[in-house]
Amino acid sequence: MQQFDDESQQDLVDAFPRSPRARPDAVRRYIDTFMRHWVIALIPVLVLPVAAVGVALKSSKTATATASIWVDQNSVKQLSYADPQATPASNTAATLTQLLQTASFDVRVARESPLYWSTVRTKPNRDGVVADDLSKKVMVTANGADLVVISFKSNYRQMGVQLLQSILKEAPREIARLNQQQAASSLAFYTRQKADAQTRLARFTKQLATYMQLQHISPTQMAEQALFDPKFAALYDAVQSAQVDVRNADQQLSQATSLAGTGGSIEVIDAPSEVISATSKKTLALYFGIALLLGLVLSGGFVVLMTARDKSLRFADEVPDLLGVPILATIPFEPGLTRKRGVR
Amino acid sequence: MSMAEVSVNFARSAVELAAVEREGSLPASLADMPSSLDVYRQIYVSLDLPADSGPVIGITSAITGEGRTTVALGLARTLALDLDTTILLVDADLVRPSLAARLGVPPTRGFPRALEGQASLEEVMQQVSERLFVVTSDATEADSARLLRRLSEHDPFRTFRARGAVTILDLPPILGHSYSALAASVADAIVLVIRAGVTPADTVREAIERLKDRPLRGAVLNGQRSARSSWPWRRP
Repeated sequence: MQQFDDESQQDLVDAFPRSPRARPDAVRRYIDTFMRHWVIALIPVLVLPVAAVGVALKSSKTATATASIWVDQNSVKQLSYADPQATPASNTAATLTQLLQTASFDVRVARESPLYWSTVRTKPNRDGVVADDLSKKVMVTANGADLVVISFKSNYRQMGVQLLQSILKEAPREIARLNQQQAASSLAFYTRQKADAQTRLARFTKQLATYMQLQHISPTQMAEQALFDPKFAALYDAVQSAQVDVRNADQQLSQATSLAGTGGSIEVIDAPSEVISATSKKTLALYFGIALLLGLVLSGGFVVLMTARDKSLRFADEVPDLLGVPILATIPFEPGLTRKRGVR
Repeated sequence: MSMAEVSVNFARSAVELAAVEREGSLPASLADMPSSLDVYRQIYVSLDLPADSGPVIGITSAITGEGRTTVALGLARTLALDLDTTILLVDADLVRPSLAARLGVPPTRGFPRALEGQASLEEVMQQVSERLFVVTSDATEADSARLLRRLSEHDPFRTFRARGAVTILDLPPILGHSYSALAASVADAIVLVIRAGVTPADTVREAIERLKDRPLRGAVLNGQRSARSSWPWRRP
């Protein structure tokens, strides 16, 4: 008995020539690996995009809270720091924006908003975080001459509504407090100004009266006397200047007194309400695309890994090539046969 | 037998098979074999054995689970349909015999008894169809080494060779037992079954090395996914 002679081996090898259209062995093995493990290989491709879209639909919805407020023109005009050239809405928007830049105001607003406060309460440097967050995220815009729109975007429902309610509650208080503070300092300043002006007026009036008595100048001659008497003219101007100063101080005191009573003049037209924006198709497509790409990479990696690990013989033409043994026949794979009987 | 004779016999054998299966005389496990009988005809033709020489064909593999018994059964069934001679299928896997279970016949200590000289093969063989006979074994792991050695030393198939019967041996896996390769020497032609995509090439190479100087005629690649994964390379 002989093993097998070279001639018969060559005959059998010739009976199974490699197709000239055959793909490279490596590619053929990758395809075969995929066909053997296609269920596992396709899991990332199918599951990841679906999961990504699900996550996108669930988590990336944005709640936008908006409130509209009407500004009392008179109250704004009374404010000493208001820009006379700007509209009341612009002035109020600027005031609110400035308030939101202050940490103390922001923290007060945050404390009044339980949902927002719960997200920042335990953070280190909490006040700084709150000030930074609110100054950036709360948008205050003037809409026309008298309308101010204030909005806040969040990933949490009702958080923006609570926050805007808190701002609309705290802002008038803060403005009133600032006005009172400013009015108090104005009152003190102009009271001193008035006292000085009154002192000067009394002194110059007395000097003018003495001079007129010495020069026998009657009150009807004062204008004529001022034309050729420089000393009289100087005294006369000093008295008039002191009178103007007293009047101006009176006006400023009156304005400061009225300023102390202003600040609560914001009228809310549209109370804070929330709009939930659905995830855009662009975002969904992006999530889907990235996940699909990742799935393909994972599947490809799996196939490459499995192919690299597998040192088995898979194709008939590999047997004579690798083992030097002719192939007599190939039995095609029949699903279920092996599993059913545990073929040996 | 030439390929032409096999082809002529095919129509007749297909009718016979259908009749046998209808009558229920063919065990269910045989009727459940892979449908491509032509694969087994191709194996037989490729072996190029002399006609009426009473050849002994050994079916083996490198390790277990490669479809060795399936190939032996399929070849036996096909030849029983195609040839006008007795086909004897022997479960020579004395370590883990499985032919009886696959055929649905009671496991008997047939082949070990024949090897020990307690009975002749004619006495222990069971008929499963008109020309197909089987000799089963039971689990004899304890004395499998001794029996395999006896198989290599005493050719128990002499009488069948003389009658021109075709004997198909379901041999143990080559790497499963030290005497497997020795026992394989009783065969006139050895067919090595390789499960596609499972058995590492190095393992098969080691088995072939052990079969050096034995009549290894070639390999059968079992379970190739040619229908799907490599259809561009299919032969007509």
